[in-house]
Amino acid sequence: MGNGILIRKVLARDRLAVGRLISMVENHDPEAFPILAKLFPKTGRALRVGITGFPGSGKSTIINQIAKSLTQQKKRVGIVLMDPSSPFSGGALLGDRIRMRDIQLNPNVFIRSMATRGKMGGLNLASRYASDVLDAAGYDFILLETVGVGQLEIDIATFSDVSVVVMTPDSGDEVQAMKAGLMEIADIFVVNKMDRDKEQIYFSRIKKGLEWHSEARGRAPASVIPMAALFGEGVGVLTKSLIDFLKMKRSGKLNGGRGHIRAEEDIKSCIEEVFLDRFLARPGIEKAIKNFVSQVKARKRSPYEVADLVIKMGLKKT
Amino acid sequence: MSRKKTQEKPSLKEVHSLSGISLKPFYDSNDLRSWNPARDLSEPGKFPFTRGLYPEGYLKKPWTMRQFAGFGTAKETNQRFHFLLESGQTGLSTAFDLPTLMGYDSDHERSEGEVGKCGVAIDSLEDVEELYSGIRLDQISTSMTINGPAAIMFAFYVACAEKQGCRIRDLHGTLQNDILKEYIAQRTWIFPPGPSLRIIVDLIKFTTKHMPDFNPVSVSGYHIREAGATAIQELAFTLMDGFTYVEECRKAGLEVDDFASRISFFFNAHLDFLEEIAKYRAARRIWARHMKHVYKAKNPRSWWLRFHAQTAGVSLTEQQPENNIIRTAIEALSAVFGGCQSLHTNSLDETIALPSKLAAHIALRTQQVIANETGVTNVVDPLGGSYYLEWLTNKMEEEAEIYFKKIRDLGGVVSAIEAGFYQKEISDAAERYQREVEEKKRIVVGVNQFQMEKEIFKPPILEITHETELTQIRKLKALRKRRNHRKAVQTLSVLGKAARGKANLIPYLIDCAKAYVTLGEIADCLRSEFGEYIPPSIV
Amino acid sequence: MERKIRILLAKPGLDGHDRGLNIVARSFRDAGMEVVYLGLHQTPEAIVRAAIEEDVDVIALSVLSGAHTTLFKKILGLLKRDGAKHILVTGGGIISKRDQKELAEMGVSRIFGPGTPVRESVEYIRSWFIKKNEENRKKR
Repeated sequence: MGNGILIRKVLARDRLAVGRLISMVENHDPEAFPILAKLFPKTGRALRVGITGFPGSGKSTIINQIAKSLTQQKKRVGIVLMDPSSPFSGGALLGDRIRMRDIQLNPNVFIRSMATRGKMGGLNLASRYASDVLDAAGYDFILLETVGVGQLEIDIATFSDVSVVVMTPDSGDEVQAMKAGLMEIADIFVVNKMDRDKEQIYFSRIKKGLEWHSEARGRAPASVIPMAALFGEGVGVLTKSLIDFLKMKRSGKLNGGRGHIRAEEDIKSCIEEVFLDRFLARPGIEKAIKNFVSQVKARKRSPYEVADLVIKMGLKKT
Repeated sequence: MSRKKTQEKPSLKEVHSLSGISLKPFYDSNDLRSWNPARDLSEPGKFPFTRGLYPEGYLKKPWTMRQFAGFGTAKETNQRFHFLLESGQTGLSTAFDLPTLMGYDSDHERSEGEVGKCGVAIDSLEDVEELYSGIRLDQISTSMTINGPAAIMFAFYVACAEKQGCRIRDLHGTLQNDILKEYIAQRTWIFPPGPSLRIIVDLIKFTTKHMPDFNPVSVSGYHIREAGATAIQELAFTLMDGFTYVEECRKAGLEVDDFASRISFFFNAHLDFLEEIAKYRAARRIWARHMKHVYKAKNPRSWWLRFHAQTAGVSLTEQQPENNIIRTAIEALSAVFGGCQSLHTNSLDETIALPSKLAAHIALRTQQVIANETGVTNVVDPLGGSYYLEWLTNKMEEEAEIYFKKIRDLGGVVSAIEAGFYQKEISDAAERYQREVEEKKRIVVGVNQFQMEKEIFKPPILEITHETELTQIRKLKALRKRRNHRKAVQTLSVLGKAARGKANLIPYLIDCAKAYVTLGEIADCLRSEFGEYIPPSIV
Repeated sequence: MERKIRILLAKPGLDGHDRGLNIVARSFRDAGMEVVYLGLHQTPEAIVRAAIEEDVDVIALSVLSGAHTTLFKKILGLLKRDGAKHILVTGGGIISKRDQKELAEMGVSRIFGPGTPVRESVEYIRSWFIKKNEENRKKR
């Protein structure tokens, strides 16, 4: 498929094309960025929602319910489900689609599973670019699900419009353990599996903890929604909240302050991504690195030295 | 006596039982220091029943030879039933096809290609009447292996028996009806845990009152084992499910002695001969101890663990299927030494197809040879007192208790299922076994050793053709035309209302059955009230 | 950058025996593949739809219920209809040699029966993938 046709098909929400382009982006295909550049003017309309939380908190069930609810209100939903790649084999088991029973054949939903592919520490850009593709294709909401509450989640929260953090009644103590960064960025907290806390004892405790935290930082408290997603309870509240956020985004009223910082970060991370690929692809660079490997392994040279040498070498060859 | 010079000295390598228990070359009284024979062994027929439930064992009552059968249409299965009964089988066990097990009629879109392939296709009371045609249900013990829609099939069975002129008080048999192990292993579920448990309790209440000789639940470990669990896991998870049903019934207001004596069990009979025997003995002892001391049952019958056993399907091979006859025979023998109440022996061709007549015949004869020619039934628990066996029985009980605590700490069986606990345990065990076989640490004759380029024996294959599906669909359409439409709709609507409330659903299901409402129609009605189960994501 | 093999694993139809599927899933992951695990009770429509959204290279199905001919046929038909014939369709389960021939004629690639070591299927898929990439590179 030629690039022109691919772009046209993506804009027409052709599933094969969208899936293909996301793969190109994941695989660092050199054609991918030029295509994304062409699609960029069509992006900006979708609300990007980052959904994170501890394993077992019910994120997938919540996404299934929210997506169902949003499509019933004539909205289109793109979903990106992230799972960690094995640090040993590089492979991954992507099993979150199992929970999406109600929406897996819905014509207004697109679901894609992505492995972190080793980029646990730094920004995982593939998911961000996948969001761009879905945005350009015309999906109104893009739900990004990640596992756990670590650096990856903070990064995703950074480039999302809305950040939702999911907890369960028995995770009250972990509120303290949560990375401070996440607490700063989260817009909505969901306490799921409330069927286990019918008296709302734990819920109140969590809510108080969050309110105190926000107060201590001089911020308005984020909203806290009680939910029992498996039974559909509380889903309506979250759905409405997201629709309100979408309206705000489309009328330009969202993320005024963060926008500037975001745009700069966007540029820098694209540079980082493209630069590294291009640099390593230059003639002689991979070979040069390989030549130094045994010396570094034998501790005859430091990797810092080698990096310096290789970079100098690479920048010279213009 | 001279030793050949070419004979290799055997190396003392690490030896483990099939479930991973580390073993010594031999066992003696030192290994039984904490063992108290009066307390732990006792006598056959006496608490804690380690040696068996009856003082005379098989001398008084042989185990029931109950071969699992079912394929194609009700008519074809009925023919196989008659063949097996004429061959000397003493109880019936019915295998249903996948659409039936999942609550779909034969003409449902999802049933396409599946009708009659794994068991008999049952869509309505009409099919059940044909299934048991010429067989008086009050004369023969009947087992039905079905879980998700178990209560529906039960309703068909009761309605059929009444039409035959039987009194339902006289019906005896078993309904598998064990939904917990479906979520854990076999995966033929329909509704989520809450409503499923409600229906099971309804059924237990019904049979407790109206059918005192019928087992409303067969708490199963067979499938858990087949999914990859070890013997210890099978033992622990099964008993834990049993405890859960007891707790659910008590929550619903039943007294433990009202129903406990009719809870029955179903275990796998696998290849590690002695481990399996130890497993059955440990099972009886654990159940008796918990029922007496934890659940405070007073009636000794409430302490009895009665079980059906089936030889391990998963131990059979596609390569050199004739070897399966031997595997099955040894497995069956372990179940007999273990004191099973009822036994099914697999057919040699089960890795390829449903049992052919020849294979089914050999399987049944296997049991008859054991019962009549080997003398193992002359004495009860003949291996009792063996150092190894008693040590192993103790060990298995210990390991099971560790699992009980783990599961209770997770909040019980249902919570543990949602948390992915069982999935992980079973997948890990399955993976370990697979690796051992692929690395040749575990030998499977004909598969990773003693292979043959060309098979010697080509077993006859039972074919289920597309004709079966077409015949069944035709029959179903004719039934829908013939039946009293208004009555069908009415009974279904009343059922829906009852499902929304708290009434016991069984009488309503029986009414639907009598009105020839189909299995799929009833299941759909309940689906709309209860919803469908969605499994947790993979671990 | 080395491309990862993306493979979709599922059980179509009503059969629930997933012991083999679970083992294969883990083995494929350990072999460095990205496994989109759909699990049980999947309809042909859901399988094909997922295969396209996930842009997988391979679809691997497990069928032990005897319904394989019907199910594979439906899935191949849908893949053709949706322009996804490039995806390798393979699988395992209880499928007689005669039926395997019939499936091969339909367009299904190798079937891995009971007792086949998992590494055989891993090798098969890897070789197919390398060959396909070679062909694609030549085309460009």
